[in-house]
Amino acid sequence: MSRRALALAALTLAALLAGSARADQLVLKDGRMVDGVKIVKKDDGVDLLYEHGTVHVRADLVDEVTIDGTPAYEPRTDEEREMREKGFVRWNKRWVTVEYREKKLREEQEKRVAQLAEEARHRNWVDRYQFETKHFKFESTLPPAINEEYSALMETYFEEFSKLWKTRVPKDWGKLTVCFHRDLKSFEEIGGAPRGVIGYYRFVEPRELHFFHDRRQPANTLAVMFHETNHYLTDLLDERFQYPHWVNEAMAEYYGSATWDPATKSMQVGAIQMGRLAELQADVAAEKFFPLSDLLADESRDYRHYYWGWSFVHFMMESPKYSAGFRSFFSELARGRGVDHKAFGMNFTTVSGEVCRDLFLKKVKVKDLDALQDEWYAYIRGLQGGGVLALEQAGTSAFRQGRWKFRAPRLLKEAIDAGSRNAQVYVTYAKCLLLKGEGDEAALKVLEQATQVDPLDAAVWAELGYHLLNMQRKAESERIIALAKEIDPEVDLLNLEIARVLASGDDD
Amino acid sequence: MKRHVAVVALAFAAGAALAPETARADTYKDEKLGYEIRPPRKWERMPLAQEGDWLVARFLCDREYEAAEVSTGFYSSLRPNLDVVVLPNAVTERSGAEVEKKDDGEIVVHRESTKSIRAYLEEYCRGIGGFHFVKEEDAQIDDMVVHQYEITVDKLVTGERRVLCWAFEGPDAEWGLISHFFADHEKKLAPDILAAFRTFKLSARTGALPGGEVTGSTIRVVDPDKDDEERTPEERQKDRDDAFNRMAARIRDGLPKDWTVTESKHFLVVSHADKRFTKGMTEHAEALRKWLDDNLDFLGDGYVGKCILRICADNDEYVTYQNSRGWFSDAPEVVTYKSDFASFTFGSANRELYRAWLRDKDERFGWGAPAWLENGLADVVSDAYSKGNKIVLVPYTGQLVEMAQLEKQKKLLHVRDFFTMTSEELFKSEGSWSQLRFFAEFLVAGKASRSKRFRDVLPSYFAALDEVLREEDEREKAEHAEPQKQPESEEEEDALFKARQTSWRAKEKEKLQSIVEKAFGDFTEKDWDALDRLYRSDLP
Repeated sequence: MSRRALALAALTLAALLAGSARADQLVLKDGRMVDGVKIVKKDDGVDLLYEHGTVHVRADLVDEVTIDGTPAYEPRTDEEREMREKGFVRWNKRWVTVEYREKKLREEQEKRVAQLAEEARHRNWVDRYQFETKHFKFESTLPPAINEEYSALMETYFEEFSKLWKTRVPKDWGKLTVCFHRDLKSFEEIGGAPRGVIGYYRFVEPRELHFFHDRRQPANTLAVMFHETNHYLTDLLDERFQYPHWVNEAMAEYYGSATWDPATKSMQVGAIQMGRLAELQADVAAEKFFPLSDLLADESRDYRHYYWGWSFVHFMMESPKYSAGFRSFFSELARGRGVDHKAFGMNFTTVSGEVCRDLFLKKVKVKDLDALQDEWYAYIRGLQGGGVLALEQAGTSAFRQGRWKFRAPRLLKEAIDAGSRNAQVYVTYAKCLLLKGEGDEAALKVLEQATQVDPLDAAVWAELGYHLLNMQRKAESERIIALAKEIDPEVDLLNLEIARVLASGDDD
Repeated sequence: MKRHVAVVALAFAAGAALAPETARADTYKDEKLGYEIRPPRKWERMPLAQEGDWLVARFLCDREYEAAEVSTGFYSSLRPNLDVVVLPNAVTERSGAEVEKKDDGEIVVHRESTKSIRAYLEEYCRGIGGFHFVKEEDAQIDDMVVHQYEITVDKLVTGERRVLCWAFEGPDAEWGLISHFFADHEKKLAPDILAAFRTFKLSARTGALPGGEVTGSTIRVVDPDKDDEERTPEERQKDRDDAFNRMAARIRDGLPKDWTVTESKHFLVVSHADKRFTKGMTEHAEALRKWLDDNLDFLGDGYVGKCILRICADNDEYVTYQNSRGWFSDAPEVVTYKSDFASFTFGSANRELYRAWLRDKDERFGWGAPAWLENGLADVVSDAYSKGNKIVLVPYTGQLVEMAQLEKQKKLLHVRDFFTMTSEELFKSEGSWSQLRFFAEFLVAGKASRSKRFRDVLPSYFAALDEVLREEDEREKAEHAEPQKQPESEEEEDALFKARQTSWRAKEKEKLQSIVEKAFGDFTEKDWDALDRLYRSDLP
């Protein structure tokens, strides 16, 4: 955060805490908080009056809005008008004086402002929320509502897993510490995670889980939570045993695709990992297969374990024919009495590739591995992605693979038509249109839609500004860039700055 | 501006009289940058690379502290430091990117990333582990606002750390003092460190603030129409010498106390080790340089200029210096240190000396040579010892044992395999590193180099490699000039994608085949077998 931005934030917070000079404040459902800008309520949401433009935020994105000053009372019925003339107004189903209503409204507003200030204070790690549930200790900089949902999910997951795999937490472990960070930057900074890591489980004391809230794609947060927590839960099978990488990551990915229903507080395993499916399909298209006998005996940390391994575990766990045998294999790897464990650094044990393969053959009762491999490959070919998320991930993945002319735009367009609310999907689709040469106007329209999908994502506004600059609409571009900076002073504008200087380079 | 600086200097002089006097080291004054500080007693100033960075001084504690984690058995050691960092306002106020068209067609884009000492501090802590601010306060010390930060680094790090920082808002720059140590030793260390922070003063400066041009990463977009090859050999030699002279002048200029500078035929030796070790290392470096000139001259016709050879007193000093270096420097600099484990010290110095030499000779061979050659040669050179002014190659015992086992198990690669296997195939072979090392030695200094029939194998291979790299370069230029074939349907797009997925391996195979055909087109099976027999007879 720049010093100016920090100073503004500090001032705002100080003002909120003092309760004297209040400011308008907006809280979005994804946990973001906006203050320091004038807000006007509208029928279908709110308008944020930035210096460089008005940003409309749809009602479905808004969790709560607090506007400084009490709104004027407007009688709507004849009775209300008649009572108003007598000096009374309706408030909480009662007739009260105008002064009383204003006093009560002010009190309520101050209370809520203080609550929001308290939430804002907890965004600093040093002042983080700390609370406990039955099996976990949580530390979090997220708002209470999100903490509540995530902690409920973790408890449900724990119960489901321990019921199926018959696990218990060793007495000397105590409750696991789970750290929720409010965004990727905080996760990397506070959690110490290297770039590219999106969640981690520290499997030695002090054991800890770390996640961040991906507001752009909350489904990703859930996937990472299910995945990383699985490593902890798997440790409960045998605290000293380290599963071979292929099956460890594959099982974590299998659980990682679980879905969560916050209303019923229930989870469902066995969904398709769309991102993994896309990677798998790319390998299949290139005829780069992973032989089953190699996978079962693999002792390496091959990245392909995440998607080839996932598909195999999915195949096994979802198959009525193999499921029981595979679960027995997984459980016995760690707990089986006759299974030959070998030393694995730092007082841990594991199994050799050979032992792993032999146990699999025995427990799943496989005689012909080639035949099973054929069955598995056929299963992979039959896997279908479905729904908006699948289309979003497959389209984004195709774009990254350079298939921007046909495959990526087709899938992204299908995602948008199916109701995608992911602004990045729109941005990527706009890039496809530009690369395909379908015209600046078409891309502009999609980028404008992106700013409506997530009106407070400064990076999306920056993309729009960048595109306007390329269209030689310099004045508009300047305004949009300034607006992006207002929304988020830290937005990365490097591409835009380069484009701007290059565009004006010939004049200098 | 002068008046402003003078006022600040006076104010600080007054403030210093009030600062607590404890037993500390001598005051360190940097008249060029215009500041002074008295570090804790016995803390020593370290040399720094000072290339486009804002770190202008580093003091290290005389004692190393240790931390261990019972659960993991991991162990960590740390010498507390006190860094002085300066961020000129002229730089921090400049935002975004700058594009500059130079005479030689190069466009340089500057991206400012370090906007404040706080931002620098965040980046600094990120390099240690997961951290959070526990205290942020502003104070007024004399005429300056001082932002005081306290940070705990406690995630994914062995031994919880504490980082203290004071950022002084000077008239034309922000100055940061940063210290980092184990939290367990805070009681003992923090008072001395904070007392040192309080002695920081600004004064009139005789030089300029550092950098001023670049913060953060630099992206170079090279104009393909006017590349490096268009410069004449004389121009390149002059650029190289100028770069070395600039570095040498900078080194002489900011030489820390107790460091020496001597010059040999090919090296400027900057040393903090004793005279005897410095002399020995210098002679070794010269001997290796001669060996490279004598044995690998055919590698290219580049002008090999003088090189900086920096010898640190010990491993700590070496690590500190290496951490302060950028990833690129104008002229090559080889850094090593005095250690009781001569083989390790010489091994890493040899590798750096070879890479520095190769960078001048023909840098394409550093990244364009097949993996077997690049790794094999570097490994051979790293085993170089000098006897007098002669080089002898002494392999590790472990590698000798491994080769004997491979021979016994009949797992040695045939000589032709080295030339034709892809890097993936090669490194899957058992004992690949040892096999590469001994094959490279066989070619460069073994029986092949003395055989009338096979002594040209390596030079011929390099000549062919040179030709293939040039062809590759031309082909790539032509490919970029031509519009890329675009798919006309999703099916075509899928097919192109599949082709791209497999093309890297195919290209490597094709390249290796092409070099072999150019270098050994007339080799018969008999020749290959004869070369293989000679190789096996040369193995220890």
